Order: sequence, then structure tokens, then C-alpha cells
Amino acid sequence: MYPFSGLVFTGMPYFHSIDYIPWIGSTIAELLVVGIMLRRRLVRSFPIFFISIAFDLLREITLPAVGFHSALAYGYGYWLSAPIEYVIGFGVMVEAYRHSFGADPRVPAKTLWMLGFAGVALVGLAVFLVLHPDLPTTNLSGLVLTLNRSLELLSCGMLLFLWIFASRLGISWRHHVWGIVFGFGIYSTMGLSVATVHAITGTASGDWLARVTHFSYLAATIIWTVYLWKPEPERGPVTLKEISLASHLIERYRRMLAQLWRLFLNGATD
Amino acid sequence: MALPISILICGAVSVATLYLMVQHFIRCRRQEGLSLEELDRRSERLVRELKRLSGLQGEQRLAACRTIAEEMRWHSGFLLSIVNDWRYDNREKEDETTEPAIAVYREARELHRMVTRILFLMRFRPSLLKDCHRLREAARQFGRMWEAFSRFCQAQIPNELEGLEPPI
Repeated sequence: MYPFSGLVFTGMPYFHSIDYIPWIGSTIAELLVVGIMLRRRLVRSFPIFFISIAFDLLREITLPAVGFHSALAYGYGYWLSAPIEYVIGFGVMVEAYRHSFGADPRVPAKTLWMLGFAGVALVGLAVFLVLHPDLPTTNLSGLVLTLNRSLELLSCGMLLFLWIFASRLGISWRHHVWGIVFGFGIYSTMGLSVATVHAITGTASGDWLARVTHFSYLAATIIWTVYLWKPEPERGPVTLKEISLASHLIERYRRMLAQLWRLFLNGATD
Repeated sequence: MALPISILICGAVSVATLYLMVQHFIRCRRQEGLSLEELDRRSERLVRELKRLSGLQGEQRLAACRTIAEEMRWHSGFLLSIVNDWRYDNREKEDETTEPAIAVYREARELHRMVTRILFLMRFRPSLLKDCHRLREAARQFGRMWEAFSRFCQAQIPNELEGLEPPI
């Protein structure tokens, strides 16, 4: 999730003033996220997400310091930390799934089969893209770009399935979880698009497209800050108001349905 | 020049993900501030339009059908938001409410699909909507959706709703 992947193979000359915006902006936003999570005691609810933010902060502070001395060292440092980033990223998505499912999810067998099949298909596609690369993978840059694209596909695909199967799985969305997933979604979709183009052109940096990833990460950190800053409403067990609402809704439904049947049975709509 | 297959695969995945997320975000925004008063107002409008339908022809009839379909779609979103909020806030009842909640989601989704198709046909192929069999089917689905919601309510707060059987 670090904005300076562009420095990997081409060095510092491609770093411009505009690149300060996503770098400093996302660093500030991440500091705010860490502060909010500590203050609101959200670390216990989303520990893996907290680790991902802390990891990124550490990287965003450490790697530029390395980069200003040696672009090559920066490049190796970035790509060596990329697998850790992906593992943590997948961990955050699993955390979001678990948080949405609740303590003891009852997933219908049919849905589980569909999800499993979709997961296998997704992994198969990712492997296919590695085995049939658009660039030669005999050199390091081609291999890295090809692998990066497949990992981005897995990451984005997991989020896609989360949305497609949300209603079949009975997932209930609420404020903080939705905000985390939304931010990840924005970043993953942009990352996948950029990684796809780069894996075809062989460009790893220096183009305007690389900045799309940087700014999408900045957008994700702002989304996280906003959603985590707003507290979720505290609600306890079912209240009298909710019971009254349920009764009113069901009564309303009875009357409405009676009227509907009367109208259709009488042929009012012919 | 043929596009590489990787662009098609990855492009489709990223566009689909972005579309679903943005759609969910817009739906969440629309569902903020839902109230019983809004429900009453829209329910009355739905029934009023249905009553008027028999006496209308041509463009007026089409407009009434569009209103009915839109109101049904609103109801599906309303119920989904209620179920979503209740399930999230009452996790201790996860066991009892999962299947009823999934049933509500399924019925609401089916209703949404039906009325979206009706609205699509109204815009591009109104000739296919001369009889109202699609709207009638949507109304039946509307009833099934509310029935599923009643069952969910009973699973959520069975003691308080004891004796209030959902009508068939």
C-alpha cells in the first residue's frame, strides 16, 4: 500500500512535487486512524486492520529515508515488504468477513458450495495469468509485475465475492466494517487496473497511471478516517420502540396486502 | 488490435467490484433517515396508484405502473435496511435469525430484480407491458417479501410478537 512503488526500477527522477500529496496525505490520515482506533478502543475489534495501518506507517517513514540514500535499496525494500502487505491485506478481509458474519455463522450449504467454487475459479484465474504472462518472466521486473497482477486480482476478487454473496450469506453491514471494506475496495480496484496495464506494458513506474494507485490509497485512508471517526450507535437488546416498529410494520403489511389482493382479484389492473 | 485476455479478466473484476461498492454506497445514503412516516406515505401512494390503475389508459397507465414499481422497489430497500440493522445490533440472536434474514434478503432481491426489469421494459419496450401480468407477479413477490419479513420479526422478538401470525 505504499505510494512509491514507482521508484522500484527507475529511481528518484520520477518523483515529483505532486507525489508529496498522496505520501504526506496518507501518512497524516493513517496517523489519525491509529489515534482514533486507540482512543475509541477499536483495536480490539479490528486488530488486523490496526496492524496493517501500523505496518504501512512504519514503511512510509522508513522507506523514504532509505530511498533518499539509495533508490535501489528502496526498491528492494519495497518489493520485499510487498508479500507482508498482501498477507496482512488478506487478513484484514478475513477479519471483515468474520466481523460481518458474527460469532457462529450459519452458512447455507448451497451458498458455501458456490463460494468455494467461485474461490477456486478465482485462484485458477490468478494462476492462469501467471502461467500465461504478457511479459517475459525470465527477468525480475517481468516476474514481479506478473505476480503483482495476480495477487491484486485475488485481493479484488475476494471483495467482489463479498458483495455478490453478501445477501446469500446474510451479511449485515454496519458502519465501521463497511468503511474498512469500502476503502480497501477503492484501493484494490484501482490497484488491479494499474497492475494489469503495467503487466502488459512492462512499466513499473514513472507514468501517470502509477499515481492513480497512490491517490486511490490516499482516498482509502481518508475513507477509513471518516468512517472510524464517526462512532457506531450503541444499541443494546431489542427495545420497546423496536417491538412497536415490528408490530406496526406487520399490521401495515396486513392492511396493504389485503388491499392489493382485493385489487388484483377484482381484476382492477386488467 | 485484440485486447489481451488479462485486460478483459482484470478489467471485468475491477469494474464489477467498483460498481457494486458504489451501488451499495448510494443505497446506504438513500436509506438514511428512513422512517415509519415515510413508509406510511409510500404505502398509501402504492395503494392509491393501484386503485387508479384500472381507470387509466396509455401514458397515464404507464406512469402509474412506473410509480407502483418504484414504490415496491423502495419497500424492498426499506426492509433490507431494517433487517440489516437489527441483525447487526442483535448478534446474540444470530442462530435464530440467520435463515429468516437470508429469506428476507432473497425475497427482497427477487422483488428488486422484477421491478427493475419492469422499469427497464417501460423505458425501452413498453409494448411488452400492455397487460399487467408482470406487475401482478411483482405484487405477489411483494407479499412474499413482507411475509418473510414477518417471520424474521417473529424470530427476532418471538415473545413480544407471540400470537401475531403472518397472513398467508
